[in-house]
Amino acid sequence: MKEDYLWDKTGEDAEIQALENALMAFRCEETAPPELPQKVFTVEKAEPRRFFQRFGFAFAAFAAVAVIFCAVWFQIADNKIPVIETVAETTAPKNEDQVTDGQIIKTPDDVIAPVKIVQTTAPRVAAKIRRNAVPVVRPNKAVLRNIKVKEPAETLTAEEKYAYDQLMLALSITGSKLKIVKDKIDGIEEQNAVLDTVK
Amino acid sequence: MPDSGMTRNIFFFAKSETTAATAALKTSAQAQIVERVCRGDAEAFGELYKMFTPMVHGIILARVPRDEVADIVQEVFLSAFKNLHSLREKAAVGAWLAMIARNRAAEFYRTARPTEELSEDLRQKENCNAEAREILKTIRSLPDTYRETLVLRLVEGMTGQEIAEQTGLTPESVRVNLHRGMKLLREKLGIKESK
Repeated sequence: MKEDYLWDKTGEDAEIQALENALMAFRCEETAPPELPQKVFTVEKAEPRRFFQRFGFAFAAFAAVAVIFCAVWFQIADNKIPVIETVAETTAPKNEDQVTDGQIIKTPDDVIAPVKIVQTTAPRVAAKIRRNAVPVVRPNKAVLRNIKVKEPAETLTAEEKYAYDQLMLALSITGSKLKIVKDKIDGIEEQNAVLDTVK
Repeated sequence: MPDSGMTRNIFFFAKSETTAATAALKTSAQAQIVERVCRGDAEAFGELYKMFTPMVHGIILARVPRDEVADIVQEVFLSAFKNLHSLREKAAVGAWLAMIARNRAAEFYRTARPTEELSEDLRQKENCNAEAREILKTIRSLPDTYRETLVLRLVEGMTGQEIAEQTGLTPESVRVNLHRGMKLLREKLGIKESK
C-alpha cells in the first residue's frame, strides 16, 4: 500500500508524510488573483486560409492562360489562321526604247504593263527561341501593304508627258552614242596593241 | 483463488474507467472556464486562478528561489490572461499554463535582478525551516522531470492523478517520475527505504 500513498494518498507512509509535513511551509497560499488590466483587446484570430482559398485565384488565372495558349496553338497547328494575300495592281509606263545598231526602236507610249505585287503573309511556324541567335530584321507588313507604285500617266499632263518622253529619248540616244564611242576607243586601242606586238 | 483475482481485475478496470470519466469531465469544465474568460468574465478568471495556482506555484518553486515565486505566479497568470485567445485547444489550458510557468522560470535566470540581504526576522524564520529548505534544495538538485513532479506531490499535496490532469502528462509518466524521483531523493537524503 506504500505505492498507493505516493500516488493517491491512500494508505499510510510515515516517511512520505514526514516529508510532506516538512515541506508544507512552502505550499502555495491561497491568494487573490492578480488585478486584471482594465481593457483587454481580444483579437479574434482569423482562421487559417485553406490551400485552395489561398491559391485559388492563381490557379484560375493559370488555367485561363493555359486554355488560351492551347487554343491558339491548335489553331496554328491546323493552319486555320487564314493566310492574307494582298494584291496591288499598278501600272507603270513602259517607255524603254531599244537601240539596235544605232537605230532607236521606239516603244509605243501607251503600252502600260501591269505590275503585280503579291504580298503573302508567311505561315506561322513555331520555332524555338535561341537566346544567342542573331536577330533577323523583317520588313514591316503594314508598310508593305501601303506601298503603291506611282502612276505617272495619271499625274502628268500631255505636254509634260511629251517632254518626259523626249528627255528619256535624248538620254537613251546619248547613252547609246557614248557606248559607240567607248567601243570604238576600245577597238582602236586593241588594234594599236596588236600592231605594237606585231612590230 | 481465481475468483478473487478476477474480481480484483474487474475492480481495477472499473476504477480506471471511473478515473478517465472524471478526468474528461474536469477537462470539459476547464474548457468552459477558459471560454468564459475569453469572453471577458473576471469571475471565471478567478476560478481558473484558484484551480491552477498550486500547479503553477509548484513548477516555479521547483526552479526559482522562494521569494520570487509569488511574483512569477502572478506574472504567469497575467500573461495567460492576455494570450488566452491564442489557445486553440481550450481543454489543454493546464499544459499551456505549465509551459508558460516553465518559460517564465527560465526567463528569471536570463534577466539579472538586484538582490537584497535578508532582514533578521526573516533569517530567524528561515532557520526554523532549515530542514525543509534542505529537503527542497535536494529536490531541486534532481533532474527536471522528477523535481517538478515531486514538488507538486510533496509540497503542493496534489495526487498523481491531479498532477497528470493539470500538467497534461500521462498518468503513467507521472507515476514513473514519482517513483524514480522518490528513489533518488531517498538516496540523496540518506533515507533507507522501509519495507
